[in-house]
Amino acid sequence: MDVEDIRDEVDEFNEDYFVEYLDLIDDNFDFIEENGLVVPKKNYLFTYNFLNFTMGHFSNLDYKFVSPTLRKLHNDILMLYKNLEKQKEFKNDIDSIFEIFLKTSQMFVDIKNALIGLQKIKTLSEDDVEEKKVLNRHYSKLKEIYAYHFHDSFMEQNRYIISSFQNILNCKLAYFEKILWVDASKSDAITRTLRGLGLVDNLNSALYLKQRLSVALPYTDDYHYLMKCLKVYK
Amino acid sequence: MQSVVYDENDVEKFLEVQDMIDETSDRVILDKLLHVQNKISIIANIDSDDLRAIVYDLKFINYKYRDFVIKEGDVSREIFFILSGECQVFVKKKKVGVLQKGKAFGESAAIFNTKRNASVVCSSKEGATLLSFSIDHENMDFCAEALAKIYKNLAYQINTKLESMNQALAK
Repeated sequence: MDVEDIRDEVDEFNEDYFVEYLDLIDDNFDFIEENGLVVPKKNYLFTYNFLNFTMGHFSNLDYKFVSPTLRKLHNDILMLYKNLEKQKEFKNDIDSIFEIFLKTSQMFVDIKNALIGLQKIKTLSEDDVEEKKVLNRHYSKLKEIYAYHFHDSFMEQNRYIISSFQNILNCKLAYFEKILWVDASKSDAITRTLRGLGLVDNLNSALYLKQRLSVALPYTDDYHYLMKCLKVYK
Repeated sequence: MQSVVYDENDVEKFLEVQDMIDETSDRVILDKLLHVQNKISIIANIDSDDLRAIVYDLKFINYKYRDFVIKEGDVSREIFFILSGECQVFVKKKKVGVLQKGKAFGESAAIFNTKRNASVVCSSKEGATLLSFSIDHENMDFCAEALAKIYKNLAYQINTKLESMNQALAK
């Protein structure tokens, strides 16, 4: 068995293991491409918490303000974000996922079965003892080689999935932010409240952030976060 | 794990806000500005995210031979960077200098909001292409660090000019 075969085998396993994520990514990229949506250069992903907060705040002011599109988009973003976070944590599970791989790889299963078979023999002959030693050595050596390639393939897949989710979220959050303000501007309860805060025309995230910053406690984490969000919308 | 399915109405709503997101036209100029950033002393070494946030009204402008880029006494807030061609500087109609490709000008009046103290005229027969932009330095507390750098850069630039004037006077 050469290196290419090993790589093919671990790649195939990893693709199968992540198939749900990869399908979700493909569907999303297809949607973006088919409809000519923009994937902005700006880092809208950074504003995820701010937009969630704003959505929650506006919903409290007027639970009917959300259009079906915004609701759908919000749920979509929450789901994608959850998957992105989950994917980031996968790195810590690499060893346990490798163990799953070992249980599915026919070659490892065969060696293990042979070892179990020898284990069951009450009195081992000299040949059996030697075979057991060889099989054990073989198993350890192969495991070591496979672990190296598995790690490499896994991390490559993991990086691709993370960056894809980031791009998809960046695109969807950009649209979400715009539609959020379109919907909010149509709500009397929300516009009245914002007018009370001095926000009158052309409601948008930059104005809202400036207002929130004007009342936020300076030099806190929240204050710095809002300042950085403002840079995205400026 | 199911993808969210959007219908025609959803897509229509997406496309209605598309123009507000599409930064394509600005993006090209902004990329150019970021590329030459360190050649423009006033914005040198400013974090690129900060720079994106504080610049506005970015344009590529083509000037013909003898076109005025800025006129002495005018109030305008653009800063210019020469991408190609050459310009001459005039104070009270007297030529005081030449600005070549890769030079920036107009910073002081743009920041201090004062009248232009010289006229700049395109002096290349084949014309000149300039990158022009403005800096929003009011209500920009969230970019305080970048603005502090701008003022520091400007102070350094003024100081350098003063030193060379002093040296010229001493001669």
